[in-house]
Amino acid sequence: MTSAAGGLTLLRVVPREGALHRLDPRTKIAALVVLILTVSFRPSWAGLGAIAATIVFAGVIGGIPWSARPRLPRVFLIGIGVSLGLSVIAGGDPVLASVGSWDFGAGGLLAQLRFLAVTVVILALTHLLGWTTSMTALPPAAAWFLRPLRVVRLPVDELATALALAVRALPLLLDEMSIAAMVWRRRPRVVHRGGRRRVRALAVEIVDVMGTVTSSTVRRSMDLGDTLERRGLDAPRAMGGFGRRDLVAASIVGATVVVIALLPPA
Amino acid sequence: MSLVLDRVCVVRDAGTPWEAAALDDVTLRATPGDRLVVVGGNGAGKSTLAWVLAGALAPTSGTSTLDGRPLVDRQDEIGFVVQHARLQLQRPTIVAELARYGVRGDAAAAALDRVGLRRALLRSRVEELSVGQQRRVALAVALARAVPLLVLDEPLAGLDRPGVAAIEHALASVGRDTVVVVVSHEPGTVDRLGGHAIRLVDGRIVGTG
Repeated sequence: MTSAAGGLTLLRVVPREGALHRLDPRTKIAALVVLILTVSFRPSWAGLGAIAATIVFAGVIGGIPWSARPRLPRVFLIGIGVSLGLSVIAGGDPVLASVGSWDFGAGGLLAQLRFLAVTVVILALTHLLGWTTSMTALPPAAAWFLRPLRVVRLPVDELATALALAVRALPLLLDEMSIAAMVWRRRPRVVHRGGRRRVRALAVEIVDVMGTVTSSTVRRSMDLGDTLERRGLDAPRAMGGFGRRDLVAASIVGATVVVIALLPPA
Repeated sequence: MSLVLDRVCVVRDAGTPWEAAALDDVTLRATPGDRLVVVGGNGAGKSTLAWVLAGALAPTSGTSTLDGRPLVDRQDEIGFVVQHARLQLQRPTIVAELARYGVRGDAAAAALDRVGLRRALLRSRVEELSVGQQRRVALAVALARAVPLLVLDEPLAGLDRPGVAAIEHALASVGRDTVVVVVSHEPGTVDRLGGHAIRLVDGRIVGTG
């Protein structure tokens, strides 16, 4: 049964058969890691532009529609706006204007914009993976990358199973939270006199709801874990196998990294 | 009192690539004493219909009303038991959960009697109960209040025979002034609980009987 709660489109595969959908998940994970490391170690504006261009190109050939973008809550956007405003007040070179002894500079603002751009790029890369890759394909792919670590007796299979459980438990948790919130809204309200009592009662209710969701999710995750243990990760079917398109994708990512390395670092 | 769903449509994730009609042109009517059993396979829209009937979800189009007033405005008058009843029992103990709905003392013990649970369980922690017992407690809470509409999502799923019998017995005791809607993936539920069957496929009603 699927819950009626629904509504959140977090890391869901876009139902298209684009070029990115057909790539082997290992290629996509490797590309994601390489590009994230590149942008983290070399967050220049030119480099960010190059990766943004690669993301847009990948989105277009991957058949990802603009409507797939995550919708951020307005309060989140307001928070970002306020924090950018505070950066202007904080100042930093170059100084844009002075009012009395107060300098308004763009240094802090530029630093924060750069940090914001890095975050957006990393989130976009992660979403590209989520939009084009079934969540069930990720744990076997991760296990493939970790395979060499078996030499040093790392529990690779157990780690992959834990990852599989985590990616399956995330939608479960969101689902449970939405049902618990719906139930909580329907419960009769208890009226308390006095601010302190009201705050205490609210705190108790929040703890109750969190405890309920945790308890329910743990129980259902245990069932999920048992099922996973019985069925295994189904690795060969989840990974399609490398092909020419994987080579093309790796070349594009490699070219992007080289371009970023050659661009000015500022 | 009349329950009316008129050409109700629910569209999920509208405006995204995942847009899908969960309910499509659903129309149904019920009067006090009616028992409706909604059956269908996975993804048929049963739970969405349960949420709409419980007033927890507003239709994208069409109207859903109880006595002419939108169901979403009458949520506190509608009994709703979700499939994962643990999420419904948000206080640590059964006695505290019942008290939250104003059911105390003898009334609390009687509520447990009604769903075939031992009174000794009153002081038990919700965590200690089996899934079936949790669902029966959630039903006890819903039955303890006189509601015009009672909606149960998969009340028999995964229950053992005594659990099923207890819920059947409890539902049989519901007054004739209440509309009971049971959502189930098991076609046999209609024979067990009686009432009118409504068969859902891909969000549309394809048969009644």
